[in-house]
Amino acid sequence: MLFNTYNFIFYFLFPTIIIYKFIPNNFKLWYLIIVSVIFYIQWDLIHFFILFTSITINYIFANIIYKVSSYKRVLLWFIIFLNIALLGYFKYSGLLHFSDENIVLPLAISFFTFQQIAYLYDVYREKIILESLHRYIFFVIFFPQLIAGPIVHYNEIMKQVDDKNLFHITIDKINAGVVLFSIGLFSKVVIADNLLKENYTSWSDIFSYSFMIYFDFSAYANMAIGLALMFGIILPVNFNSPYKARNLIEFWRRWHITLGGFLKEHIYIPLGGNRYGIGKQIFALMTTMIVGGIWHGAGLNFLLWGAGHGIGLVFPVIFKTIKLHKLFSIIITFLYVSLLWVLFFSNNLDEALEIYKFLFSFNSFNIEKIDALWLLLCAVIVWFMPNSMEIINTQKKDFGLKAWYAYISAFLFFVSLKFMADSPSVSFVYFNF
Amino acid sequence: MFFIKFFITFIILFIFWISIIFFQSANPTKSSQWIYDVYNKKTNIANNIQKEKVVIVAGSNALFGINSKMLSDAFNKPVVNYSVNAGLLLPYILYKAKKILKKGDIVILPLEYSMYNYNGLASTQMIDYIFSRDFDAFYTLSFLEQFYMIWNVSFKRLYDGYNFSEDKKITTGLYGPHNINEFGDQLQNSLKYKSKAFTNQLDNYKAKTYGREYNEKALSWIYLKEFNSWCKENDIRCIFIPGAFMKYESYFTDEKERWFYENISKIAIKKGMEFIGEPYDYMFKKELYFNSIYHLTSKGRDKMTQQIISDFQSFSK
Repeated sequence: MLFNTYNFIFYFLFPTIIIYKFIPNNFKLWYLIIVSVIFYIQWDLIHFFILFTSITINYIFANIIYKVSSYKRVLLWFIIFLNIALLGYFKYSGLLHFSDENIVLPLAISFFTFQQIAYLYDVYREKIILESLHRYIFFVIFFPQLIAGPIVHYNEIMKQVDDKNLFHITIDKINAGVVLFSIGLFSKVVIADNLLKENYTSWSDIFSYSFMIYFDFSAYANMAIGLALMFGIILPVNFNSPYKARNLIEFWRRWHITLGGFLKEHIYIPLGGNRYGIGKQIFALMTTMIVGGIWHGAGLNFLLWGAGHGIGLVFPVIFKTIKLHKLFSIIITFLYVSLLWVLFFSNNLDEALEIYKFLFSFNSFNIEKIDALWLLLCAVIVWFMPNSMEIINTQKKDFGLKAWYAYISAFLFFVSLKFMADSPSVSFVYFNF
Repeated sequence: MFFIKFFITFIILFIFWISIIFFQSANPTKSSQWIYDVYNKKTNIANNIQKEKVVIVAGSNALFGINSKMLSDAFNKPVVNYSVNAGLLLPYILYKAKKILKKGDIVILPLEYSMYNYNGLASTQMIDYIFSRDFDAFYTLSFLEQFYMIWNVSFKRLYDGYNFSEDKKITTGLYGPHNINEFGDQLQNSLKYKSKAFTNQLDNYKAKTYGREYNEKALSWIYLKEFNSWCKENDIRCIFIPGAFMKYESYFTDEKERWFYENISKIAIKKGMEFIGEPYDYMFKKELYFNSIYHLTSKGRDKMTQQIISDFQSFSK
């Protein structure tokens, strides 16, 4: 069930919220586990068994790591290896032709794997008090963030579950959730889906892709946070106007924030981070981004995409003293990121090189009037409007809600539903990973 | 308060949406022109026949798949091919047929199989045509179907409705009154008109899954039963036959598909309808199709017509 479908909104979400309102507090956690299972099973029952097995094995190992006093580190590495092996098998065996069978990537496997690795690491560091299995299941399976993040830490979520003031529906939370969900739905079905193209062969097409993936991912992030709010849970911000970034470091602090944080915590810092001189820092940055690239896909194009981002991150580290005008920095960063998207969306390196060749022949500036209007609209929203996290501030008690948000969100919701009636639902880009 | 404001805004927007649709209704769109012209021509043909007649009612499978002259000679009755476009969907096709059927007529319905799966959701063509050419038909639909129709008007269709131009008859291209003969059959579907693009189109089609989609409770049966009863009340003989359909292996090998084609006639008969012929006899090989898996070439058309004649002869014996 995609968030951007009538089935999800009318047959799943509405009844789920209404019933939730009347469920006694003691059973809310169980209820959310059940609806999350129903949500996931809609895609594939077999994949649910993979998810369930992964949860069970990780929980058993977490218990062992928590209780034993020796070999903790070995056990941690072993279970992380198992998790990565499972992810690697599904992600790469087909692509690298290790298997003749057509292996379908279980939905959300990356995100539930990462989230569980983060959990195991927290158990190892004794940052978590081990709790019952059903609480752990809830932490992994909570449906708003299950499919594509945000990747959350156990304490971040479970503290809210324990706090009776937080873990129940308040009208402000629902309202804020509705505003965010409406913004997300609009970003997806009205903007992102209309920027999709069959081929990307001109500069305007490349910018279309840049905006498409921006709105696609921001849509998912907003909808996930909005949905969680409707159930009383505040998820961390995962997307914060990345195209307003002045360099790649800032970009990765704004784009898929929790994934960036995960890679930083589990790859960049263990590799030394910035603690051992510039040489090691460059190595750590490049390795982190190449791993991030390969995580997206097994092709050479993904590796180069990661490396490209690594170089982009290294650049401000080396040339710290160079200060560019803010506007100029934003434009350069956007162009750099946009050009790297070519490697990201191409099916292989040859295809990407063909597109680059075409782009840099500088004959590809043709643009349809309607495309120009879309790009202009996107540019205005991206660079001149407040982002959803500035509209709904999850740090404030009243979420910064204003009365007129109701009118705007009703309008966005209405137009989105209308667009959904006209065209088939398109999956989110990050569902592929 | 937030929810009240949200809800009221939503309702106001919905009312506004209904209003802008109604204000543009009856504005003729360019996309509906050919169907309008073809229906006009066929209605004239039907209305000019004073005797009891045979009327063929379906979508374009019958427009391309019936040789009315051959049928007329075999049945010794005037024949009108009143089939136009399956995209108009079952409710409209039956509604339109009722307007020209008279006491003593025989109506033969070689319906596309999708018509047995109609579930109340309007198609793009149905929305376009009813809102631009025949708004009265809108009121014959159920409340839910009306709601679906209004809700499913696309922004583009709305724009076309306001950006309309006066009727300009279609005189070129494959579809239009200029390519309809005196019986209502499609012209220019012989092999010499079959372009490479049409062949490619045929190659790109995939087998349909009407068997898998079949729902015993589909709204189509309510419409079909009602039409059947209406015919009985008006002394019109109503006979269902299979529509022309390109042969795919899965229709024989897939359990659900095979069940559907083996049983659709039995289901119709069980529901009190007269059904002649077996679907498999109306599935022809690719070479006999023109530009879609429903549109026969003139050679295929003669084959299908011969099949109908032969089925009717066996039936009457």
